Amino acid sequence: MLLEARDLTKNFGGVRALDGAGFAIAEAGIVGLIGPNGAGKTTLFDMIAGRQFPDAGRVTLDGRDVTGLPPERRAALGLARTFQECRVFPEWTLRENLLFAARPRSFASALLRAFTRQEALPGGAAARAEELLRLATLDAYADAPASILSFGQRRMLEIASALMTRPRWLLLDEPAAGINPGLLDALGRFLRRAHADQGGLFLIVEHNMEFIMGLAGRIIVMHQGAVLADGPPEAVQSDEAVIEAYLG
Amino acid sequence: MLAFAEQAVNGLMMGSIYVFVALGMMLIYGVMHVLNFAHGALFMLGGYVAQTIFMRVFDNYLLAVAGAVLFLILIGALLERGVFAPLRGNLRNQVIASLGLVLVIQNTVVAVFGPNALQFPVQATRATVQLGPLSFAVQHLLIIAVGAACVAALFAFLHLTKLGTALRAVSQNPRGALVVGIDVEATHKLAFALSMALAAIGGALLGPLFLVFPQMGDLPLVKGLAGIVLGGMGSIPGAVLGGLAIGVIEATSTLVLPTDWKDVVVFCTIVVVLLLRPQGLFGLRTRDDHG
Amino acid sequence: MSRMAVLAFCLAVPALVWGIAQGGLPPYLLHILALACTYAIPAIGLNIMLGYAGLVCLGHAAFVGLGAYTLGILAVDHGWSFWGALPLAAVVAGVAGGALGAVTLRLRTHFFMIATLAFGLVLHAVMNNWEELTRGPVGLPGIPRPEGFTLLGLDFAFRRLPDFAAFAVGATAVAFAISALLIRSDFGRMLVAIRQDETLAAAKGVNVTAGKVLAFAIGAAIAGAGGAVKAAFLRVSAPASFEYLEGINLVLIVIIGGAGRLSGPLLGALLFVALPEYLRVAAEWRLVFFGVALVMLMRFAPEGLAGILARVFRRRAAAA
Repeated sequence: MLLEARDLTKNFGGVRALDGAGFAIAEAGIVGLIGPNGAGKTTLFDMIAGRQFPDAGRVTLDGRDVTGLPPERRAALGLARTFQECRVFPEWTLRENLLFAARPRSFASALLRAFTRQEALPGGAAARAEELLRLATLDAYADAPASILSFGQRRMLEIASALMTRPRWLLLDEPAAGINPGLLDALGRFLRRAHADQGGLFLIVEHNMEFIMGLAGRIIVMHQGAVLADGPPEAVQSDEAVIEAYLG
Repeated sequence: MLAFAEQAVNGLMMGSIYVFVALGMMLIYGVMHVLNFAHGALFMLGGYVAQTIFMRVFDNYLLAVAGAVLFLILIGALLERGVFAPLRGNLRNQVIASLGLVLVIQNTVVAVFGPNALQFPVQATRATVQLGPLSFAVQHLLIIAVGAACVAALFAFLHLTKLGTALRAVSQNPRGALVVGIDVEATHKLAFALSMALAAIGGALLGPLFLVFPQMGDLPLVKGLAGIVLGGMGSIPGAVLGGLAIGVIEATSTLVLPTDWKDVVVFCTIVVVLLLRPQGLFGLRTRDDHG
Repeated sequence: MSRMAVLAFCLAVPALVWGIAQGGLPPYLLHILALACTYAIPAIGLNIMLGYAGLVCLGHAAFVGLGAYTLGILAVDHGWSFWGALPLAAVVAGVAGGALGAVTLRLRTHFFMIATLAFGLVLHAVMNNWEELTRGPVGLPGIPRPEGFTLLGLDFAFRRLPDFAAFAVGATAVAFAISALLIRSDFGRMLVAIRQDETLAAAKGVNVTAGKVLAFAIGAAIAGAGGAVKAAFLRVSAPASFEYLEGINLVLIVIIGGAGRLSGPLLGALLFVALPEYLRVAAEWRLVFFGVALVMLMRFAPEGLAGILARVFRRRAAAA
């Protein structure tokens, strides 16, 4: 199993945010995670990313239990993520942002290399960064600090930086939020193309129905802390329970 | 038992001083979310101003305290306008600027008044009262009484007046306060004025007891911070209880440890509380950043 | 750092050290130079914590003190040589720094500052009160200057002021080089990532805990070595040199010089020690001056002196 979440439960001071939510994804692809406000999408997402930990239940990546693993350990396994509020390193240039994602993470070896002056950037990282900048149409700003970008551009940079390592699992938290509607097509193309290029699982939490239905091959619907429906977009869109949950 | 009672009164007295510092810092922290590390230096400045007025102008303790309060409110308005307001939103820069102010205030005082301690001979330090078998300087009891009165007045102000309610509203929810039409800027100025008044009273009360000297605010600052940590960051009642508790812990520690180590006991209290219960003994658990 | 810069550094520093040791400079100037170095070395350590990892530590003077007392106790009470005690001074301070870093990790902003301040106060109080070990407020007297040696036909006798000033400059250069190598490496990049955004750094695979603890340990170790140099210079290790205001002075030096810039601590320390001597005003007024400068910098140029200089040079280069 590529990714499995089983019986996840989480309480926030008496409020049950997750109530035995779970799903399993066996194959690579683009999967959407949707649901009305308060359905528990973000909590579930954070548990897969390692930003929050469940009261009960398990998360496994490639069959390996990662439930209690901190985010940096999951990153080491090949998991990358973006944030709803969009996070990039503002002081660094776009190129530095991308290259940082590709650098090794061990402090011990970094300290050693500091005094032996060996270049640690993996071969091909520089070329990969150029390619991603071009795909994200950010190549004109490659040497500008990320802080000057517009929100939409920063979102593209954030996704490009997450793609740097060709992650096996890429978690995208509302990538379309705050993006100029005219640029949504470009974002969708960018994601589809990136997925075709590298494979793996793209798990996308999204509020914009039109965007996610056109992008994902499979949709998981959450409601009141549990999974309500799971299937291809067309089937989910005509599901009675889903329609009721969104209208009710 | 007698020794304990004596140290308990001493502790309440010093605790009241720490309450002045802790409350003043929490009032500003509540609305501006910044700890003013210059508060100890301002406390010291209050002592100097009161001493100067007392020795050279009026020879009246009450007027001296009032003068110190007015002077510090003025200084506070300048600092709020000139330093803290322009740096709003950048916590690190605000805190570092407040460290710069420590140097400015402390060394200006040294340059003007000299490095040596000055006498502040108020009658109340020499007169004593008999409480059973124990006798205390009137100043001790005065500090406790004035401390209690100021706390009571502050609570009445915060809970019974419109301005006080506005201040509390901004502390709890600045955005909400803005929405309902509270002048947030004005509450910052108000918090600064109240904070400075408390610092001035504290310095003017402590000066006669232990002389007035440039570092007289350093330990009260740290112990006020200890009170804040103990009571829970951001909590006004916590600042009162925490400040008093630190005073009593410190004074009673001298019953079992050499006097020299009482500061260490307080500093260690800070570290231990921060590590075991960072929300403070009386504080509420802080809200999760993301949920 | 470009190869040219490394080469220039490796040539200029020994030349400078040799030049200073030749004497000829007035003792007054040598004194100021050595004193500035005793501030610059701990400031270089603090810059790693404050400038690069973003940890505002208010108790840094305690690490300087740990180094100074380690040297003092080993040299005075146990007859160690300076050169033997110096690494241990760094190790003791570094271990204390790592421990403080580990226990204060969870604390946010204000709590972190209060905890580091309290740590500094506790250590200072221990130096004052543990008379059996530290001799209390008067301090440990009679700390030896580094033992002399002959190198390339040159006799270094550090009892002489020119030689000691040369040693202090050399030690500062070594500390600077270490910090430059660290900062320009992946280690430095990870620290800067942590400062910019901890959550993002962790999502990118950076072990934030390890980064902060290491930054603390390394910064404190450099401060400890600086403390040993300071104690050897002053010939005494007394608590007054390591009180909390000295910790704030170090913060001030780093910020005024330019936090997060390699040259920041050097500029800051030189300015802190030399300028007031040059201005010939009372010690109080120079600290007032620095306090005002700090407040002004926070308002108008938070990147510090090194940042201002970099901006000026860039503009010059652009105009030329």
